[in-house]
Amino acid sequence: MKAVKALVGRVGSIRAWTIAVPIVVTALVVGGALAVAGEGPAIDYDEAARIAMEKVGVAGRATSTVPGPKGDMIEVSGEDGRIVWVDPDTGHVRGVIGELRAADRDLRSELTTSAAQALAFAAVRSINPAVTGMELVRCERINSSFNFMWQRVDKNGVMLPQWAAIGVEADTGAMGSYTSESEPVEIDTKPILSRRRAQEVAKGLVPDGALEAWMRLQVMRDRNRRQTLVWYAAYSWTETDPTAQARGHNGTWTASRTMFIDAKTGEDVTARFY
Amino acid sequence: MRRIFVLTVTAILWLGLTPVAVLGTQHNPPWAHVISQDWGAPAVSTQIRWGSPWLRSSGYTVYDPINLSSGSTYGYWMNDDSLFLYAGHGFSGGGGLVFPNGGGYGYIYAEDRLYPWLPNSDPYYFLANSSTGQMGDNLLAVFIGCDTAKTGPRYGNLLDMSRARGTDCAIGWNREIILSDSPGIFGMGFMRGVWDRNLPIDSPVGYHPNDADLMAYAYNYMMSNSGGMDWRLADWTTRGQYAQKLRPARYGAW
Repeated sequence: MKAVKALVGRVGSIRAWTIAVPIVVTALVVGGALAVAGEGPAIDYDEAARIAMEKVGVAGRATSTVPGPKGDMIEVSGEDGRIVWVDPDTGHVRGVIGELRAADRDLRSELTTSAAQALAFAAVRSINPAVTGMELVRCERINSSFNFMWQRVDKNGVMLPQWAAIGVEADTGAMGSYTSESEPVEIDTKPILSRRRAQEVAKGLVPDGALEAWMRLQVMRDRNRRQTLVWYAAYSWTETDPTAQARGHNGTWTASRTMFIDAKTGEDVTARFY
Repeated sequence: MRRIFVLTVTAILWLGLTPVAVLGTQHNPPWAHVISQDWGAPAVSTQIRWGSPWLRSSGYTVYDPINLSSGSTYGYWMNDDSLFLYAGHGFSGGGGLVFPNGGGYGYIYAEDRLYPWLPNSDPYYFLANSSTGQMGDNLLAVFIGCDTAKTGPRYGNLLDMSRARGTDCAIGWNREIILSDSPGIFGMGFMRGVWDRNLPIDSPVGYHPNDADLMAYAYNYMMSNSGGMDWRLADWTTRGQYAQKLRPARYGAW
């Protein structure tokens, strides 16, 4: 009883209150802020604008969030008309529309593919240093531009959700339209289903005679944001319409089908991604 | 009395015999059709229809039916639409679109160079048989499908014929584009770009890395949301008045 009285006496004293009140208030404020931060995205509009400036050199304001099948993107509107998309969870730059970097020099003739690749790689690396460990998976000229894409491929040959793509103008060397993804891999990427077995499953889902367009291992995230290791397969075939042909028309077109086959179970899980 | 009777009959005969041009209807707000097929690639329809609200918010009355027949599509496109967005099958080798028609198939071709006198006969329709009065209202036609920019030896070129019949701007693709979800997401991005940015439709040479236009916006939106896998969609061709913006909502003025 004496001890209780002493405690009440101490707490009741002015000295005790001057210590206790700031501690309690600080704890409430910090706890509340942490709770709010845990609920919302990690990156706010101001932070997204700062990232756009720092990573891509675009000065502007973030005013809206762009929804998409792969999650939201904060959109930063550059003062020069460029647009930058920033991942609100990670701060990763997912896209830049408009010229990323002007040409360093006037070209007297068009760039060769290798020269364009070197310029593109340097530009991507300045935004996304992780490109250094990625493989070149696309190198193609479309209209007046070269298009490159690098992707991280792990030791099992799995295409990971970590890639960067960019276009380069062949005549000036200017770079733009950067897009990328950088998602940590949370699952085991060793497949149980072999390529041959996956091909058998895929062929069972398309008409006889369909040709394989591609078949590759990929880490995909479904609608519930859960990662799955899949065989990503695409098959195409020619459809004919006998009725049309009987009436003198050609009646042929190319049909195709894209499938996701769980690389652990062999199950067709395509529907989970749409 | 007799004179009035004669005048009336003459007026009726004159009105009846005067050839009346078949004109499209201009609705207010302007109509847009987002036509998609879930046949072979169910994701395309699901995804592209997510973009319709953005186009509605841009001032258009949007209809986004799935698996519309060739006849209905032709009718709406010719007579009512300002915007025509198509995501589905293109005819092998170019010059046509392929539709599900009940249990069979239907077609819209640019023309028939082998039998140019053929009339439209369900389920076969030819853009060449339409009048400029019908298609002159069409501001934009986008055909997201295989070979839709190619010139077929028999069925011609969809882009050139659309332009010749009055569409202000027409866009098609130069190769087979594998039907994962990407064409649908491309369409979503396009409609998002109209609402959010009101960028010009395209720049002269199709895809270009430095463009700030709707097509580049749509392409980048697709890349950022589809794992960057379907870059075949970068290879498109644009014909016509590519520098136009689609807001405010309006009909074409060919």
